[in-house]
Amino acid sequence: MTSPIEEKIDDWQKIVNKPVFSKDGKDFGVVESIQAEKIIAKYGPLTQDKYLIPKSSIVDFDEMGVVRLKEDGDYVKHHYKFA
Amino acid sequence: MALKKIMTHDSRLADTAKPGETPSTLSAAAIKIKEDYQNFLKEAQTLMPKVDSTLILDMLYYQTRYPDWEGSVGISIVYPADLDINQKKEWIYQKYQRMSKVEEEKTLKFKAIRMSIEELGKMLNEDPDIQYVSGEATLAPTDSVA
Repeated sequence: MTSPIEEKIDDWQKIVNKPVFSKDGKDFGVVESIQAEKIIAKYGPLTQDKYLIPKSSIVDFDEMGVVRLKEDGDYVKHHYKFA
Repeated sequence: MALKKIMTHDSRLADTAKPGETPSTLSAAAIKIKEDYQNFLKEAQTLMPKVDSTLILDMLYYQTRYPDWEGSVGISIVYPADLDINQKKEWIYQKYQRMSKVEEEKTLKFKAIRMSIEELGKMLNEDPDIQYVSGEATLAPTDSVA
């Protein structure tokens, strides 16, 4: 069964390089690549923070081209930051 | 005066070969190569969904270009946040005799030697807890980890 976001994002490649924001508006950089069930987001120009975010955490990909997550910034940082 | 055929970007794009046909022009060949490359990346992601496709490409390049490549890869393995990472660190040590560095309480980084695509596949089979593998293959062995 496809989730509402999977219906909205028919081609996951179109969110590559798009900005990612948490529920409370914190910036988590841009989408770097797409995995089967997760996306990789990177933040920072030189020493980059990287986040492994489940696709199921995405609640919206709006008309401005912004990927919005259902969790707040602290949750995203604690659970998804891996580098 | 011979008429010069003006090739626009669009006309080049339209000049594609059908599947199974030999490309009739160089531009069609280039487009076919690009399509094949993209299909290859998709296939790699389907077969090894937990591995960064850039790492797969790097490793394949060194494995095929330099048959005596010793499999030097600075590797990062990501585990779920709620897992005992020290147990995984011990497992990596037992398996590869390499001490790994813990980052963000869920990532193990170490410099692997004799790491091949086949070995990477085995590692993923043996440990289903692995969430994501990325890293950098290098031609010469170094002790630094990316």
